[in-house]
Amino acid sequence: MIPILIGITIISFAVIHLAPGKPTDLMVQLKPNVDLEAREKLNQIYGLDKPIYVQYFNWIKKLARLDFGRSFIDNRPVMEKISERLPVTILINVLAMAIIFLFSIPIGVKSAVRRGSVFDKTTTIFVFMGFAAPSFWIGLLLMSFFGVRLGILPVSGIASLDFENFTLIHKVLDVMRHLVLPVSVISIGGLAGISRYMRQSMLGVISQDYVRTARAKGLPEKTVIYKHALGNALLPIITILGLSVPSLISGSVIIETIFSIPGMGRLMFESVFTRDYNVIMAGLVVSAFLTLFGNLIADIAYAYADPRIRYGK
Amino acid sequence: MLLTVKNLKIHFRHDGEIVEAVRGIDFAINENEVVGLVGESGSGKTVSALSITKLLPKGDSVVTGEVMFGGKNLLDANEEEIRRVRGSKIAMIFQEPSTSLNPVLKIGEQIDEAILAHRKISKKNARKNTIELLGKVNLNDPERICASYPHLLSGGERQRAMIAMAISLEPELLIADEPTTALDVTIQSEILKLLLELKKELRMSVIFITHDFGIINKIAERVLVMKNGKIIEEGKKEDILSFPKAEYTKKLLLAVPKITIKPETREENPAKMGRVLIEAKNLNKAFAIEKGLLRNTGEKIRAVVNVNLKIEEGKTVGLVGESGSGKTTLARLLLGLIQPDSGKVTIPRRVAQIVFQDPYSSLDPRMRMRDIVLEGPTIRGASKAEKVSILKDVLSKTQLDYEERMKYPHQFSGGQRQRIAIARALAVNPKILILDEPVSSLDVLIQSDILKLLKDLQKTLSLTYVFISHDLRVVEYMADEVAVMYKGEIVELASRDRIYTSAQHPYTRRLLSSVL
Amino acid sequence: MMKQIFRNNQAVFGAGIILLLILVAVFAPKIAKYDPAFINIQSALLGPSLEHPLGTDSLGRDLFSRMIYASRIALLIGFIAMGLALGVGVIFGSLAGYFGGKTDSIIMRFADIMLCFPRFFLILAVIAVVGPNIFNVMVIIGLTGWMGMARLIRAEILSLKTRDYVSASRALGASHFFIITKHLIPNGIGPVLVSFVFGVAGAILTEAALSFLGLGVQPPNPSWGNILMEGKAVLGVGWWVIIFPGLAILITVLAFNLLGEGLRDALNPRVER
Repeated sequence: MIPILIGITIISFAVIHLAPGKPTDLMVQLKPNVDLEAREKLNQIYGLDKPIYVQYFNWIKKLARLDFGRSFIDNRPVMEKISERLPVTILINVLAMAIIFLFSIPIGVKSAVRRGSVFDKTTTIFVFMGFAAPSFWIGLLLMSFFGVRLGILPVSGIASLDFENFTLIHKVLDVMRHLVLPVSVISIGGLAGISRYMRQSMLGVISQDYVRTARAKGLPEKTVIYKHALGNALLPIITILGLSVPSLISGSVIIETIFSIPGMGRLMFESVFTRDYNVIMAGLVVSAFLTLFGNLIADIAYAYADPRIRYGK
Repeated sequence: MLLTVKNLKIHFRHDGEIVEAVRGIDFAINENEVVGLVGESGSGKTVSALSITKLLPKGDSVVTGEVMFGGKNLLDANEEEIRRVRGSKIAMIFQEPSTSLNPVLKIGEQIDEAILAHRKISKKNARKNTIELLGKVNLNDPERICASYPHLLSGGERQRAMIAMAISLEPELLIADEPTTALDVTIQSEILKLLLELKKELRMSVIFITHDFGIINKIAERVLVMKNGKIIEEGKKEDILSFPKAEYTKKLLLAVPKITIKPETREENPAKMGRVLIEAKNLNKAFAIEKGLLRNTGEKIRAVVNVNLKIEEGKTVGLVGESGSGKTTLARLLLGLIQPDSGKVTIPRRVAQIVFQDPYSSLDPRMRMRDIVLEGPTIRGASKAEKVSILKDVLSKTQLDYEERMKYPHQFSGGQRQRIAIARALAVNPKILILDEPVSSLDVLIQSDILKLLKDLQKTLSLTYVFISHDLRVVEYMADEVAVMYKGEIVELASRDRIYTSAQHPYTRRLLSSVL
Repeated sequence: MMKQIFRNNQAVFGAGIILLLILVAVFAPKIAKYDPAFINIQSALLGPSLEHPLGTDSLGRDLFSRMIYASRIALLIGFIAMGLALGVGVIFGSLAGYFGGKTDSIIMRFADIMLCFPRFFLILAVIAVVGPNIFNVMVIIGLTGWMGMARLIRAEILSLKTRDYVSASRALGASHFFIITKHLIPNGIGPVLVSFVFGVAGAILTEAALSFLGLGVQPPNPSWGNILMEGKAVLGVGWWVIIFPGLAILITVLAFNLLGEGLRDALNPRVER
């Protein structure tokens, strides 16, 4: 675990510093009127005149205190900016995950049990489409239909302008209304992937000997499927839950940019454009830690669910 | 009549083609009798048994005919009717106890639910019943077994639990599909004994599916012989064993090497006596066991313990033991594929080759037969012309067709594949062949062909064999000397005759008694 | 195996579309009627017509011609990026799987660390440093995409190296290189190739997303992603600028996914009975 944490910080740091030139060079390019002297001063402020490994150790020392430095753009602490943005991203993705699992498990089970049926074929087509369609395109389509054409759903931000004056219930409803489109876009892609995975997993389990045993002892078909087969087929899904953290974070860049949502993804995107390196490095570290955390939770859940691991021989 | 099967036909859809797996069979099972259903793999015996309670996968198979049981044709029964029969009237046990139990449910729960599916009793009473049953199948500490997940039990324990589950509702008919094939020989005979006792006690009938006439001899009263989806012979066990009528049955029976020392196999090997070719001194090898996900406990399995072995040129040493006894590890040590923790192997360099048990995994599926056989010469940098002559030579020695040299392994039968593996070893002119269960994954008829080939090759090429097997009958046929391995140690090492007539070690005697 | 692939309709269908796309990309100058960069403000945002089968964009450029040229970039990036990933993945994965021990833990730990980063974040960060252009995008997508393949080939090799034919080969005196290249990689490459095909689809999607965000292929070079970006500006006015490039991406990715799925089925034929 510790080597991975260290590795994450090294890569996050190296990505930014391996390129020739100093980060401030690029920053200065954006404002060509900054003279040489001011540039030197900038380098000093950010410690960029020191050898690279010293810079790394200084950075990591501060990082241990959760201090990611200050943004080049508005000079606010990076940590503050991130902790403002992260909850929004987490809210959207948790909502999407809940929807994805709520629907994809029954869909996957049903298409596996009735393999080759009309239902199975229809969902398969849907799955392939959902898999192949770029999320930003689906976002654009939904936006232009529900937002522009019908005008029934907001297409940007997470709250209305006069949000502050709303009652609590009104506030919640307002946020929900704003989240319908972005959450739908994430769900469409995820639904396709997870229901397909569930189907495969279920198909693999259905042909196992112990399912035949369950039938041979005269259990009703429902018990055979939902107790014996599903109990085993859900195990790999737990792992998938952990593994989907990084792709959800990746996806948030696109979703949040399209729908102008002030989340982590959009922060990352803005920082890339403004070359706000402290924010970029922090974004990398925080997102990688989140992934690691997700995997850890999934491992623990898996070990709890699978007696072969819980009671290793 | 308990069960009458009439004109049973089973078709499978396989990649768009229809394959007839069972081609119209008729048989009947009486009350309180054990019927052996014998045949080689692919003869249709398992699918016939599964079709009795409609357990074949629905979409892929078509079953026609009549299966009369309790005055009803089970093939016409609806989902609920057949469910009531399954488990309560007709129960089944399968070959692989490790995959036949649900890995995420405790044993107790799996037996309870079988009882609860058919009887309206409380969960508590069902559990009481379950614990009684586990005692009945001679499992120690039924309470512990009840609360265990399947992976924590041994193969034998699992199969006993399966049996407990099968008899939980005192069925009238028990279908046992190769229930002992996956088990070690000593456990095999215990399970057979248990089944016979239970049959007597519960007065049930048993259909016992097997490919092994040795088992039939022990358990069956009547025998049905199946081949290519048909029953080709049926009769009382004594009649079939002593006076088989069908050619196929005769062949099957002959292919079982009998443990009676026949004069023709008694002749001495012509090779010079005395020169020691392989010597192992105080060999030890242990493997670390990995436990759980995150930690390595540092515990070790001692796979080979203090082994001393001398093998004379031109002789065959049989290495006998159950799975996990360390035979294969010893073979790998002798070959130098793995290094011992301590001790020493003296063996002339590059003269030992190996032939493995499973001809599926011992041949690279993506290489042509020619390239497989010539792998050794290729590695050793032989020229094209040399290779052609080597190829022709070893293929004729192993009775393979030179014309088939461009084919891939999957295009050959099991026996042919094993010949290819032998040819590959011979292509580098070895003096020693280590034969690791070379016939145990083959059908009985092929077994005897390969054994004969190996004997002939030994004579003409004066080869030295280390012959590893769990099958005492085969070793008896092949070996001059026999080493018996148990938990990594050689517990007995003597000439073949001594071992088979006056074994000293209790383990050897136990092994022998489970076969004889 | 070829037989199984051909029996698989979806794989053949996918392969057919891919072949068609490759032909379109190769003969782009012959197929496109207009210069994809030719600006004509007078014919801005015209709907589909005989003159302009897919309409024109806000600068009056012919959308059909731009999309034809964009297919070149999509395929180029998809294949080259994943080719790079394939090479790196196979080398790392087979070394790790075959030699085990320290080699294995160093390589796989590195892969684990790389996998912790949301790929898109990593790509964005590198682009922030090296700047967006076709070449950079290609290399970055490749270098952030090898880990899955390394894991796959490693897992294959871990199981293959205990096969009896490998032991037999060692008993015959084969070198490590011989065993890895002659036995292990040919037998273990199947799942990796499947993953390669899916990877191409993923790379095309990634390129499109990057270009859509303005961080990939830069205008005036046409890419399906940056055409869509321009389409976003005319949302509600020129539906064709949004529909067609999206469909192009969808069909291309779908084709690769179908082929990948078909290949996978051919590699693991369902066990009968």
